[in-house]
Amino acid sequence: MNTVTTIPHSDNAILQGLLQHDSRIINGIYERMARKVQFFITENNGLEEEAGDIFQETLIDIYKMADQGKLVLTCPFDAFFMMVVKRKWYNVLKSSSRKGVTNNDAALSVIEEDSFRDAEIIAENGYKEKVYRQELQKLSDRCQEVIKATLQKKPQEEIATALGVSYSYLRKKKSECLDQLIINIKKVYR
Amino acid sequence: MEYTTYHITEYLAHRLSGEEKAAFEKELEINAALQADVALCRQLMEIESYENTHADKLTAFKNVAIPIHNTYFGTIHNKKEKPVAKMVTMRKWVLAAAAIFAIALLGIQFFKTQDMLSRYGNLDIVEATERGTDNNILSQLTHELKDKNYAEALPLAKKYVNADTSNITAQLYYGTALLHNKKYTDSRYWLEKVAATQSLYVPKACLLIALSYYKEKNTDSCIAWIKKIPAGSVEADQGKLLLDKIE
Repeated sequence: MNTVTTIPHSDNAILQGLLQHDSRIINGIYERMARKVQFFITENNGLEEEAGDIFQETLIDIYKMADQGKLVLTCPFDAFFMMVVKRKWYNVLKSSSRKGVTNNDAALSVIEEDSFRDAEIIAENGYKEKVYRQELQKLSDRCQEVIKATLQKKPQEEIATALGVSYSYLRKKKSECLDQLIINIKKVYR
Repeated sequence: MEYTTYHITEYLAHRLSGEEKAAFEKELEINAALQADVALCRQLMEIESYENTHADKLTAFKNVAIPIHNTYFGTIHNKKEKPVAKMVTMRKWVLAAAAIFAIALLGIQFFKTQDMLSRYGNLDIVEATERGTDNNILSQLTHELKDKNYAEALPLAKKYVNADTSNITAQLYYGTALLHNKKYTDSRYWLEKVAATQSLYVPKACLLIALSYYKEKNTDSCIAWIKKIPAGSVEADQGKLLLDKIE
């Protein structure tokens, strides 16, 4: 994943609250942002349910990025949150039949400013993870198991033992499954 | 040499020999397609690596965030339902009124009879399978807890806690399963361990202990534990409702 490098903003305290799972901080984010996000999504050809999904994805993706030490806010948290929402929604529109129907150009004009580069990185990483999970689910159970195990940085012999297969079988199966997964992911990216 | 995804992941996991690594990097410098595949594989490895090392932390976060999420987005949906009424005919109005009356009656009956433990003694669980764990016991346990099948959850929770008795999540799960199986004293043994930590589960553990005393009709201890629930938490509000009920 890309690393975000920035100049700190006082709203980084909100990120710290998120990392500490502070329910008051989380509640505050919902209180300030839920209606804004719902308004934006429904005004841009989306459903209320989708607004909820996008909100939740955004919060989790920001949490993950902060948890990995890859995020330092340079702007108010709420503005940043909204930028990630907009970018995520743009990705949804781009990959669906609703492409071009809405006024997403207005959203883009803000999102693509350099100062909101971080929001783009988060949305992009979130999108890639979603595609990975979605395409992984389409493979056989065995393939999913092999891929999940072998993408860890553990010794392959150890993984083969844990899965109850020989090292040569694991190597063959890993190539076969991972190749298929990569092909499928690339098709989605195109 | 043609490199496959196998070589790429071996390279990214630092499992290639010095010679193999040098040859791979030489090809990587000039091969744009290989560079793209390496970037993609690196990202997949980072995703899985994060999931494996931070699964418990992420689940704990979701356990706090999801109930809040449901509150806000549930409220929004309810308020938006009103305009649909324009299209309802007179006959449908009568049917709708009858249905609302019946639901209201059922609802009143439900809240009258529903036990406080059933209302506030459950866990907001994110199933372990959703976060891709390979731990079968945890996966089954979270599934049973989510479905409130506490009899089935009990032996699984016992195995889970026995695997690591210092695991706070396991202590909470086992304490909760014991509580719903009416083993109140045993339940408190585990929940008090959770309540003594600095973890995010403290409010829930305090509320569950209060509920265990409530079930035993030990009012003083119940109130004492309600007062220990950290202020500002959802459980503190639920504790107040329990307190109203006792008083």
